Amino acid sequence: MQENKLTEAQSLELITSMINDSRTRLARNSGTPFLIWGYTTVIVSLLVYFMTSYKLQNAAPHEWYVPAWLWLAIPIVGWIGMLIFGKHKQQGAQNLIDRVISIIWTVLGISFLWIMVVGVFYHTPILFLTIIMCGIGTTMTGYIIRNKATKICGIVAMVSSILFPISRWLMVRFIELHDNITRAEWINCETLLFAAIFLFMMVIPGHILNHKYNNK
Amino acid sequence: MNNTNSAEQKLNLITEMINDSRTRLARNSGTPFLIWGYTIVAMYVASVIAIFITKGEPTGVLLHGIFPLCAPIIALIIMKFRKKEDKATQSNSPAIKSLWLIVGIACCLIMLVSANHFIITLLISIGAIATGLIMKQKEFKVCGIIGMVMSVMIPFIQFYVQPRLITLSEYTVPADRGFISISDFGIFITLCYTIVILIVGTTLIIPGHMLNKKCNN
Repeated sequence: MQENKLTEAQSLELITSMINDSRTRLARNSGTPFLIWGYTTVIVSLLVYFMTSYKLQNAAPHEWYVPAWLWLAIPIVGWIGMLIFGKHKQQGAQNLIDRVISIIWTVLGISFLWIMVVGVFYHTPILFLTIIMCGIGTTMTGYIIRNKATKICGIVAMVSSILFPISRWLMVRFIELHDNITRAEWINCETLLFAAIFLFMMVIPGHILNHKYNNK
Repeated sequence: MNNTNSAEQKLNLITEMINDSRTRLARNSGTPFLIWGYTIVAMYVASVIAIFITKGEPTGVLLHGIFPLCAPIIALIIMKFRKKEDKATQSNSPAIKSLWLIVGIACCLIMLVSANHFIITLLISIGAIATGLIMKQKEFKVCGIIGMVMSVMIPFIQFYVQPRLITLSEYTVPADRGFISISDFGIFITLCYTIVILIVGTTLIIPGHMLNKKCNN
């Protein structure tokens, strides 16, 4: 057999190239889940924003209505999208990189369900928490697949999540002084901010990842 | 070394090296979790003491709020000055290292912005569960899930117990309660910090000790 004549250097080179091949294979299409969840969240957020704006303009004072049920479209559409477009990623054996990424997103997903359950009974800042959770997942994915753009987008998103508490702080002070905006309108604008952060955090790295690795 | 090793011998060598590295990495792998766990607990205990000294008056908020912020700085200093052999044998693979780095940054960010202890304890629990799954250690998985369930006690206190405390008396004015004098606000903060201590003990200290015992034996 030819392998029997390999020197240590050649063997190591072979092992290294196999590891690199495996890393590239795993990174191929790794942007697709980011795009599925990113686009779904951005589109749903915009729908929520426009529907709420319409309701606010056409409802009597203090009778505003938030289409909260629309948020449920994110997990439903996201999972359908993952079932349809995420299948081709499961080719070949699962290695540590793939396993760690799956673990991180699974744990974050389960915790998010927990936050939603808690949020039903207590007032938890859902938008702020969602950005923090997804920011952690994006940054971790960037670290594991060693992609700088994903890392940076995740970190920037995590830091930008502080805009939500700042917005609430400003809201209390601003509404006291001005009558031209209501509390509901202000909170509705936060949905736009949420969509913008999600676009930067998931859609942009998703396209970068797919472009980078699918061309290899 | 003989250059004409058979493929089987090479594979055996690689397997042996991987197994050796796995055993070496696993030794003392609970120590970083213990350092972080004990430092956070010590800082929160100091905060509780500060609350009792200031009788739970809001003017003492800065004093007892500063201790939790010091925890990451102290833990990082201790981690830096650990023995060399401990550093070399810690279990932190790049994945676990980056996981805790990001969780730590997120916790510091939340602490600075809103001091929301529900999110902080939830993030620590998430870190413990993910660590357990990556390292395939049952202790971390179980303790992390317990921590996650326990974290709900903080919003419970905030939204159920606290409003009832407000109706009892002047919220921020210290009142005599047996052998101590403390305000309702002080009681609320003490309850929150006690839960944080319990969760950190469950998610970091207990599995850290169990892991060290298991690996060092």
